[in-house]
Amino acid sequence: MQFEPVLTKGIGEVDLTNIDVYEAQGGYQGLRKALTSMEPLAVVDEVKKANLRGRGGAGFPAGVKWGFLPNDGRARYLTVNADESEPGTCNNRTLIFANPHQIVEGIIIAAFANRIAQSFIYIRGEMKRGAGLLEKAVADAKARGYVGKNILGTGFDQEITVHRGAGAYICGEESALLNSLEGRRGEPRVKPPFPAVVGLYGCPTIINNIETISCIPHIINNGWEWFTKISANPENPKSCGPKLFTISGCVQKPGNYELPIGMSLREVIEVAGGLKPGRTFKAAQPGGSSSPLLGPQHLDVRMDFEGVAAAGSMLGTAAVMVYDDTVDLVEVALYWAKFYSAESCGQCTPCREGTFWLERTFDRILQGGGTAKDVKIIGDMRTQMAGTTICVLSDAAAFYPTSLLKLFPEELDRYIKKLKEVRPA
Amino acid sequence: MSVQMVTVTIDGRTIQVPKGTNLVEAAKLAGIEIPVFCYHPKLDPAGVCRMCLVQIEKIPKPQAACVTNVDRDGMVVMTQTPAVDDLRKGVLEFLLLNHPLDCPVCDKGGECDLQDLTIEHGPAVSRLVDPKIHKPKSVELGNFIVLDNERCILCRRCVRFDDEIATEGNLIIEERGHSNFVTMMAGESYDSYFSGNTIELCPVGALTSEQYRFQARPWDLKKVESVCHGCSVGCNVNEEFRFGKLLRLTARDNAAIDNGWMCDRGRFNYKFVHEADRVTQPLVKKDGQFVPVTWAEALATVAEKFKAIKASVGGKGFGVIGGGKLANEEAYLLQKFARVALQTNNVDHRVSEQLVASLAAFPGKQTDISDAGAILIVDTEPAETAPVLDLRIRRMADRKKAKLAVVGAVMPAYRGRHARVQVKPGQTAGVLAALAAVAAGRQPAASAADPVAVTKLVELLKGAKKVVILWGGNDAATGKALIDLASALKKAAMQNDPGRSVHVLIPGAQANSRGAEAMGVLPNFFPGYAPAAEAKTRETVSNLWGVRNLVPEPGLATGAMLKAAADGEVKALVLSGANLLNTYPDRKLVTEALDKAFVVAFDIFLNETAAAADVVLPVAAISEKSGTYTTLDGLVQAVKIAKKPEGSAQADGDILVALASAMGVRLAESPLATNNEIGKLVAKLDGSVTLTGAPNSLLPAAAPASAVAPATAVAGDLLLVPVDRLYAGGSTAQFDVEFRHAQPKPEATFNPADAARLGLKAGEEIELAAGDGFIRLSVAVDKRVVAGTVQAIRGLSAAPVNALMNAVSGTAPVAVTARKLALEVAD
Amino acid sequence: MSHEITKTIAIREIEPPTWPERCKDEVAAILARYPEEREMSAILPLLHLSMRERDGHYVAVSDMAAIAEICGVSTAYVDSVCSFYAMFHRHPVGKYVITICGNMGCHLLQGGKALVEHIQQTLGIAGGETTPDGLVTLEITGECLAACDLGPVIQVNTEYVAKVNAAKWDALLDALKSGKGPEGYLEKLPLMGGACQDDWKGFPE
Ligand SMILES: Cc1cc2nc3c(=O)[nH]c(=O)nc-3n(C[C@H](O)[C@H](O)[C@H](O)COP(=O)(O)O)c2cc1C
Ligand code: SF4
Ligand code: FES
Repeated sequence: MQFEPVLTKGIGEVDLTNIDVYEAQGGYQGLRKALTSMEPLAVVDEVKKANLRGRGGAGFPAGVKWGFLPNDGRARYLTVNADESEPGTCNNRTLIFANPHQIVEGIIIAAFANRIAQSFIYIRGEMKRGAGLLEKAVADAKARGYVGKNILGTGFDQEITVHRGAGAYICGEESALLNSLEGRRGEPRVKPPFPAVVGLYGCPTIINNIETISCIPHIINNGWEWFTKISANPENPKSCGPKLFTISGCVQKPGNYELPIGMSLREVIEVAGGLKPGRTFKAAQPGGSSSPLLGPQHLDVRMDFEGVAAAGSMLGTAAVMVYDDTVDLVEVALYWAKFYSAESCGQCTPCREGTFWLERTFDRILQGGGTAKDVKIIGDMRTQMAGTTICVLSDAAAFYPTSLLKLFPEELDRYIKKLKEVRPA
Repeated sequence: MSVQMVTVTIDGRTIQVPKGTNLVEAAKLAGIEIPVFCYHPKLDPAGVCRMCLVQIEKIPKPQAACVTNVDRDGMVVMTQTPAVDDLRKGVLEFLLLNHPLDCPVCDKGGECDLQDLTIEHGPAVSRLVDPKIHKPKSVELGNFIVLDNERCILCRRCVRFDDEIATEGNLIIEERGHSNFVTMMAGESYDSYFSGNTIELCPVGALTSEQYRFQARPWDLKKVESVCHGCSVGCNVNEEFRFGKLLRLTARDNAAIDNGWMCDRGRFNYKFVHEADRVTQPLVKKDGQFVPVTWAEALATVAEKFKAIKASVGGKGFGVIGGGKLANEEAYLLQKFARVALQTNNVDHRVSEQLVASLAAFPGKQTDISDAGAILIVDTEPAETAPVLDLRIRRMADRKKAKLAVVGAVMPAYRGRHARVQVKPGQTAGVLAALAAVAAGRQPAASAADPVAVTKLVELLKGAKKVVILWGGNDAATGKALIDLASALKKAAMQNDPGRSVHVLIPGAQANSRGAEAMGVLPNFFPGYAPAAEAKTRETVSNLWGVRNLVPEPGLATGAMLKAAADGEVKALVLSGANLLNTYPDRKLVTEALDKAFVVAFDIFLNETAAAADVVLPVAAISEKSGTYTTLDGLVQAVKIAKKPEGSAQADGDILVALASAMGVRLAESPLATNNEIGKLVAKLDGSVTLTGAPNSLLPAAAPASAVAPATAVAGDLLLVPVDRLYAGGSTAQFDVEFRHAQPKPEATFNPADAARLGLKAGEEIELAAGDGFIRLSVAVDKRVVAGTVQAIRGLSAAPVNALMNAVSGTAPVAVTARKLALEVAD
Repeated sequence: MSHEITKTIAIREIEPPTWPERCKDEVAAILARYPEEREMSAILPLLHLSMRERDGHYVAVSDMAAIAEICGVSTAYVDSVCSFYAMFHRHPVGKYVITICGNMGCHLLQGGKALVEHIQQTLGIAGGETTPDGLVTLEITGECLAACDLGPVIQVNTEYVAKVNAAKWDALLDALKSGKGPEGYLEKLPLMGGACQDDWKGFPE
């Protein structure tokens, strides 16, 4: 199948941060179409039919999520998740820095569809320039009458606020994001109630990822059928559409690639130039640090939500990290353990203490102090940490180590049985 | 509104619970205990410790019971499966991972949830081989609290309490992840009036009491149910003793009163009962020196003196002041002693500016605050005088459940926005009169408040289904205007909606002011507010008491008694727990009265007033006698003897009976007889009765509100605003060596503009002077002080603000001058 | 690995900050972005602002107090929020805050480990420290900077510098030291397919 980039069309070739350039490429046509010729519910319906799965990690269908908003007269909010912090993931950054108007257009359509008057973009603090670019895009769109009061004379109003985070991975979790946006510590909230019912300022709130939102203008422009046909694996109708993959690690050309969903892991690695000469494939994480490992037996797994899940992992953010035979997977485990231990918000006992314990344990193992007991402890984290907490950071922290035990027991064994020279302290 | 019931099955037991009940509570109803750490029924559930994980049919992941509500029929919950056991073991293993396990030296041992739940559900050994995290230990968090961050399990109950209940938000979590720790802002001390509650909330030994540390093991303590004597709220408490020594106080939940909370004055100001400085023997002044004597000698001395006075000038030669700290029964005996033994109506419990402690026309309960639509606070700071009641107001303000309005010269602070009318002293009555006029649909006279604000405030009050008014009870004109306002609101409410109501609550100046009032410790009312001037009253009472010669004319109120004493007409004063030099708003007058009269002081400490007496009779403290006490909302609560009085101190009631007897008068047959009398004249004090409040006529006649001249100060002078502070006032604070460090420093607080105009800097020592009275204080600056006024704290012996006051002019505003101190030049 | 957790004591300044007055309009504009009575939402933006405005680019207790007043919360509350987020410094930092990605992708797989050592050596300081001349504060973050396609990546005051190696770092450091600034080294635009930033010629005219 011939695939033309949708979301990243023109990046690097033309300056899409310029509203004229964006419009010349067909920008803001989706907005015109939706606002002037469609009923809000029809827009929701279109997105539902397009089967647009959330790109932020969980893959929940956006149209269905929108349908959860109660109709009870409270104000409603749209919050766009631009916190992009999942290790290995940098696809949102490309969309923010290189194509901000696509996001603004998507927001306005989504807000229109859900009768929302105010939207927020929560962008991670480190992307200060990205925040500036988004603010400029909003201001330029406002000057054209796409944002503000009575957009295109339709009576629809929309304000968009860009809100910067300040360095906390957990603020990507949707309810932590809401707390952070409300001026609180970025600690996830107990669910239920879900944000669709009690969200920002206690009001019904939609939270979508930057990439999810970026898809919307194209769905409106080209129709839902067009979107469902974009797939490298037509046998699985449950996943479709263009997807940005961040392919990194032991590949020749690490980078962001826009691909149709559903290519095999092998093909995806090839897209990024394949492995370095002379190297063999050891393992990969298909969807960021939180996704369990895949091994050589999984190279033909389809990179769509169902395919990866069936292989025991998850598509997550489609941040594919490739490990060849030079990589010590135990060393990788320590990085992840450190990361989660530093980024746990610390509310839940299992996550606060478990991430700390894993960090300590892997650190000691790498220094040669591992014992068979550690293997048992790491294994126990699957039930002690996963599924026991408010948000799934705790699960995420336990996934890699437990999948390491399951798929690559020999990697740990070499340390435990002292078959391997230990890492210099 | 009827509650919808839903069915839930827990471990095979099917029960009905109100819809929305969380699973921890639902399980309790089914007789099943789900272990918890962060959950506490008084706090919003947080769901953070994860100890309460249970399995629910059709939900794949375990769920935290404390944050899972039964909101549909047919939920099936399992709390005792092997999987749940493993989860509990897992959470406990995590909690113990970095815990210091210093149980042998931990105060919480024996009442520690972590210990108890580990024994029940925990892992046998720790699998951690790496070094533990080290965090700060023995941190002096505040006046009374020590924090051990290593023992802390981060359940956040304390932080949530400070945020949700105290609504102060000063106790915080800093950092994140496993670096999380509970702390105060750098350089700040956790000096909330409610800090002690966190000790009880803490499920482990992280927050402990500075005073109780290392004193005892909980299983060695003998718990006695009691009522706090600190103020008129009447919080229910446990007094906990070891070997007869009171070691700590803990809260005893009473939903009608305290909701399970206490203030720190109540909780930590208890060691005075054992203080070495207590008067433990009767003292008689001989040649200007107190000499300890036997009870027999003391009583004989007093009786002789009294008999002589009675013989020479009759009952008008006596004045009896105080009684607001006594039990109801003792207060009753006090007035009976005055009326029967001393033949006078000169008896008054009022020792400060407060004139009334209740208003029968608008009865209210403390719980009325918690479902009020509007709360109006007039000339009082509930946090300082009725702290645990203030928690109710704070919650209503914080959750925006009630509209809040504050009128007066002092502006208590609450979270969130609320209506405020800040005036100078003396102007409140005018503002209330204007509010009353508008509420009644009349044209208001000009007042210190902006007419638009007045209209808005009336709208706010009228918009509420239930209005609760809190008032200090201090000024007659304000009281009259307040009654008019409340009546107008009630009338307006009745027309629109008969279900509407107006309630007035007055925090008592003393713990049992309201009881003393009801027991007739008043010059013009007999027990049960029977007017002394009415012949019928005297007839009923004489019959009951079996006496014939009750004095017909009303007696003198406190101020008049003091004046008469100073003038030599009142020859003897009986002071019951009345430290008038500290509390009465005219220190000069008190000094003169004490100088002239023969003074008998009933007290537990030799405070400044007792020190000026001729005879001091040592009395029992609250836990040393039994009796009933009346809360500010009229509820009668019983207290039993919990310890022996120190030395030869005696209960006030017993002393009064003995003294009367020494004078040849039989005051009471027996405690039972006294109770029967009270039952006939007031109400049977059986522990659950609510007493009626005072009639409006208890308020002395005052100039009509409109005639009160707007207060103006002479050029350069400021109007004095005496303010209450919870830890100031009262000998119990002053003589308690483990509490008095928390007492506020004497400060004069100025508006920034006045401070600038007068060239005063914060911290600088100055004098405030009025007439020939002056006190020395240090300067503080606060923009919440009204320009043109200066605030000074009542009841501090080091700088008694009543030295500037002149009560004969009532509570009219006092103009004071701030004087810089001349530099002392050293040579 | 020692785990001693001590309180990071925020710095108290006697004088109240001047930004609430100087940046009055900006503060008002920030507040206007959020619905009425939701001033609390302005806490993070105001912490960013106050940090920008203070010499040393950190948040002092007096800034927190000013923010608390504007947002209607306690100062302690602002402190609690502030301490949660890694980007809010509570102590003075250098003119340039250099953040090196210490996450797996950059550090383990793309040569970041050696780079960190080189940078520490050339600056003569370790992570978390500031050079004595106040030019550079070095941070090695465990967070992924979301530029795994450009690793090893660093940020200079939140601007990306891509594919850093020893030579590129040395040149960048020279530019910082000479006062030229980092501009010539900053990433211009994220590209697709791992295209090298340094070879990008810009948009065709
Ligand atoms: C620990 C954690 C971190 C997350 N980080 C991000 C993130 O950086 N960006 C994002 O879009 N979603 C993130 N998510 C997922 C969000 O919670 C949420 O599912 C998503 O924003 C919904 O948008 P979507 O439906 O459009 O995917 C994270 C979730 C968790 C549990
Ligand atoms: S699982 Fe971890 S990150 Fe998520 S809420 Fe609990 S402690 Fe915070
Ligand atoms: S008691 Fe339920 S999570 Fe703590």
